[in-house]
Amino acid sequence: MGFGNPLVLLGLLALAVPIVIHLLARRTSRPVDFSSVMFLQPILVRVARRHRLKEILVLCLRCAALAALVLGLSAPVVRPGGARSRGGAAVAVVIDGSYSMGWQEGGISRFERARRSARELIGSLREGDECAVLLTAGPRPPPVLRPLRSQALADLEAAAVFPGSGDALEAVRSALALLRSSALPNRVLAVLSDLGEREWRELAGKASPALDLEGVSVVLADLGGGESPNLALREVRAATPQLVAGRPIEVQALVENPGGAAAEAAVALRIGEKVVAERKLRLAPGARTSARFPYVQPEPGWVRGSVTLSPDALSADDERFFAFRVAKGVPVLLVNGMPSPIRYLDELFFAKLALAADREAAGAALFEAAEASPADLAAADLARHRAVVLANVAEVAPEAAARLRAFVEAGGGLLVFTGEAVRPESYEAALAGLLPAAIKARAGPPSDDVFVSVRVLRPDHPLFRALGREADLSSCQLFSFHLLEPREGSQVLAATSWGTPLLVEGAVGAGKVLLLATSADADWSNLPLRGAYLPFLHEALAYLAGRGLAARELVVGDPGAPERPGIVARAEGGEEAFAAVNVDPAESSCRRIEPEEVRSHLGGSRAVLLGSGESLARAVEDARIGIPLSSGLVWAVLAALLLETFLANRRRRTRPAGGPRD
Amino acid sequence: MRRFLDPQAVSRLGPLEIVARSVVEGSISGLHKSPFHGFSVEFTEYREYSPGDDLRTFDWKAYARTDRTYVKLFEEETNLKAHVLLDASRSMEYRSGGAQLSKLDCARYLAASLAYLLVRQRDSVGLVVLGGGIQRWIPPRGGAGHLHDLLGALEEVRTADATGLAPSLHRLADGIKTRGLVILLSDLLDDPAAVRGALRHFRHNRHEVVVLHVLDPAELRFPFTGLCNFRDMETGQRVELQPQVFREEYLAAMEGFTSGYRRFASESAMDYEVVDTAVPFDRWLAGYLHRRMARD
Repeated sequence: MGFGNPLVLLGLLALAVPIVIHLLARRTSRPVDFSSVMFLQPILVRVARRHRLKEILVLCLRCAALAALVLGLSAPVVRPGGARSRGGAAVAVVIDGSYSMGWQEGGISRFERARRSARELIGSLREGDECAVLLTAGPRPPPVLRPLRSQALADLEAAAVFPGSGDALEAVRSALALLRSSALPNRVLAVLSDLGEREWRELAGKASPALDLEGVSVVLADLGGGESPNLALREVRAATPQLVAGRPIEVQALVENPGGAAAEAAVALRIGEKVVAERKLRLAPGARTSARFPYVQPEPGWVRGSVTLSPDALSADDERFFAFRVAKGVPVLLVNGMPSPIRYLDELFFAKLALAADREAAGAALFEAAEASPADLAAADLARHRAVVLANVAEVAPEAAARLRAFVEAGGGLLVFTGEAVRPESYEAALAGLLPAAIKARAGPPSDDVFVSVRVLRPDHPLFRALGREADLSSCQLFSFHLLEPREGSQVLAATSWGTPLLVEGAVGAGKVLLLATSADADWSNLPLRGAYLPFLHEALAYLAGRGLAARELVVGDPGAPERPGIVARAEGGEEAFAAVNVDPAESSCRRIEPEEVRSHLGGSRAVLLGSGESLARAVEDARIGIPLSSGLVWAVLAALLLETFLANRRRRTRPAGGPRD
Repeated sequence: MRRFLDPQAVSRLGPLEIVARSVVEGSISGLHKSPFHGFSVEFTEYREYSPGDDLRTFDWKAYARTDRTYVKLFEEETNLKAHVLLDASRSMEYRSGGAQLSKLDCARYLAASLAYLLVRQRDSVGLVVLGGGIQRWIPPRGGAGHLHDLLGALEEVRTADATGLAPSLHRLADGIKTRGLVILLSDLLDDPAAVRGALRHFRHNRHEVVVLHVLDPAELRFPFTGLCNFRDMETGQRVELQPQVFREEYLAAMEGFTSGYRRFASESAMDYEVVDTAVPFDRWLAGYLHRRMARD
C-alpha cells in the first residue's frame, strides 16, 4: 500500500478533536433544580447503557469519517504484487500457445482473446516501459524485453497457436528471469492461459520448486472453461496385425468426447486426399468409441492418409494422420533340413502347401515364404524376414546360431520342428541359450499301430485362442517325438498323452521361440494331415512374426518432430519410408488445473486472478501503480456521515411506561 | 383593557384579596350560573302548573295518569361546603424560565380566586394547606370576614418538606364529615397509586372532587439541553444526564402520568385538569369554569 500525498496523513491528528469534544462534553454538566427526578431515575437506568453505546458508536463513526476523509485525501493505493513506485515497468506477457487455446467460443478462439487482451495491455504501456511476449508452446526464440511498444506488438502479432503442448512452468521461469534482468522498478508478469492440465501439470506438481516472485506483480487471466461441443481423435491405428497387400486392413480410429456436452460428428477415412469411407457418431460427455474402416491396399507399399472429424470447437484434434507399410506378405524363411526331389517326401511339403493355401481363398497369401538350406542359414539376411522355421535341421552351425540369436533378440520369431535328422547334442551346443527346452532322446510308441495323443495345456494362450474349434489337436496322433526338458522361464503349451512336453515357448530379447518336439511332415505324426495343421501353422507364424515394426508416429513438440501435423518422408534402410505426425491428444482434454491452484503457485493472494470479461490492461495498471482507494474512501466518508446522522438523530419509539407505575 | 391579567402584573397587585377580586370580577363575572352547586335537592310536594314554571319540574307521569298538570316542588338547595386543598410541598416552588409564576403561586392565586367566587355565591369555603403533613386547616365558612382570613392564610403559606401527600389526604377524608366539594391544587408528585387511593377515599365519602394538577411548562415539555445535573427539590437527589437524549422517554413518562390521572378521574367521576403555569391563571380559570358549566 502506498500514498500519493503522504503528508496529508498528518491530518489524522485531527482524530483527537472529536474524542476531546466527546470527553469534555461528558465532564461539564450544569446544575438544574427540578421539581422531582421521579421520572428521570428509572429512565436513566434503562436508557443510559444504550445511550453510552450509541455515543461510542457515534464517536467511532465520526472518527471513521474523519480518518476516511484524511486517508482519501492522501491518495492511497493498494499494490497487490509489491509494485514499488510510479516509475517504469517491465511487463512480461506469457500466452498459452498450446493448441487447446484454439478452442472456439462464440466465433473467437481463446488464443485470439488472449491476443486482444495482450494488445490492449501493450497499448496501455507508457514511454520507458519494457514488454516481452512469451509463448508456452512451440519454437521459442530467446525472449527479449522490448523497449518499444511497436516491437512488442509485432512479437504479439507474430505469435500463433502451436499444434502441440507446451510447458507453462518453463515459460513462466523464462519470464521471471527476464523481469529480474530489467532495471525498471516495477515488474509485472501477466499470464493468459486456459489452464489446461497438460500445460500446467509441471507447475502444479507437488515436486515443483517454488518460483521466486519477489518484487513481481502477477496477473493471471483464466481463458478456459468453455462448454462448446468438441470431439477429439485420440488414436488412429491398424487393427489388423499383418498388413498385407490384397488383404483387408482395418483402420481403427478412437474418438473421445472430452467436452462437457454431447456431440456428434462425421468420421471420415481419407487415403491421400480422397474420402474412402465415412460414418456418423454421437458421443456423450466423457465417452469414447472406436470407428473401424476396412480398406484393401491392392499393391504392396505405403498407405498414407488420415481420419478426420467434422469441424467443431477445437479443430486441432479433428484430424490424425497415419502411414502404414503394406507388405506383399509376411516374409518367412523356411530352412529345410531334409529336402527331397519327390515333393510329398520333402520335409516342407505340407508346410509350404499350408502357407500358400490362402492365396486362392483370399486372393493374396498372408505369408511370403522363402526357402533355404541349413548351409545357407549362416549367410542369409534374416532381417528381411519376420520369422524363421527350422524343419528337421540336423545341426546348426555356430555362425548360423549367432545370427538366429541376434534375429530373435531383435524381435524375430523362430519355430523349430524336430525330426529324425535332428542331433540333440548339436542343438544343445549351438542353441542352448535360444531354445526354450533342451532336446533329449527320441521317444514314441513301440509299434505303428499304437500312437500318442496331444493335450493342450494352455488353451488360453493367444496361439490356441486364435485357432478356435479348428485347432482340435486332440485328434492328432504322434508316432515319434523328442523328449524335451523345458528351461527356466519357458512355458509348456502342449504335452503328449505321456505327459512329456510337446510344444514349448520361450522369449529371447524382443522375439519369441516355439519348439515343437515332432516333425513338420507326416513322418512322425499325422498333424500335417489334420485340419488343424494349416491354422496352427498360420497362427504360430503370425504369433511369432508379431505386428512387425510399429508404424512410426511422431508427436508435434517432441524433440526432432516436425512442427505441423501431417505425413513426413524419411529414409529407412535406404528405402523411402513415411511417418505420421500428430498432435498430442492429451492437450485436447478439458481437464484443467484449478485457477486458484495455479494462483497459489504464482504468489497466492498477491496474484490477481482475472475471469472472463475483466480487463487485463486495467489489472496490470492496478498491479503496477496500485489500486486507488480514494473513491472508495469517499463513499466510506459518506456512509459514515449518513450513519452518524441517522444514529445521532434517531429517536427510539417510546413506550408510555416510564415514570411511576400506575 | 386586557381581558385577562398579566400574571406578573397580578403578582405586583399585592394582597391576594385584590387579586382574587380582580380575577373574579374582571374575568368571571360574566357567568350567568354558578359553576358549583349545592347537593340537598329533595322532592317535597306537587303544585298545579302555572305558565312560567320551569318545565324541568313538570310531572309528565302524573299528567298521563290524571290528565292534570302538576309541577314538583323541591326543598331548597343547601349551601355548598367547599374545601380547597393546597399542596405546599417543596416541589411546588419550582418555576422554570418559561413560567411567569411558580407552581405554588399559581395554585395560591387559583385557590384565592375560587374562594372568592364561592364566597360570593354565598357558599362556605375552607382551606387546607398540605406540606409536611396538614400544615393548616381552616374549616369552611361563608362571609367576607372568613374570606379575608382565608386569603390571609394563603398569603402566609410556606413550603415544607414532603412527607407524602396521600396520608394527609386520607386524614382529611376522614376528617371532613359534611358532604361537599373538595378542590385539590397540587403537582401530585407522589406515588400515584397512593394519591389515587386517597382521592377515592373522598369519593367514597360522597364528596365532589376536583383535582387541579399544577405543572410547570418545563415539567410538561422538558426543554433542557446540554449535560444537566438535576437536583430533586424535595429529596435533594441528583441525576446527571443529557436531557435531549432522555426527552422522549421523559415526555412519555409524563404523558403516562397525567393520562393515568385523567383516566382515573373519569372512572371515579372526578374533575381533573392540568394547569400549565405558562398560561395566565385567570384565563385558565375562566376557561375551566366555562367548560364546567357547559358540562352541567
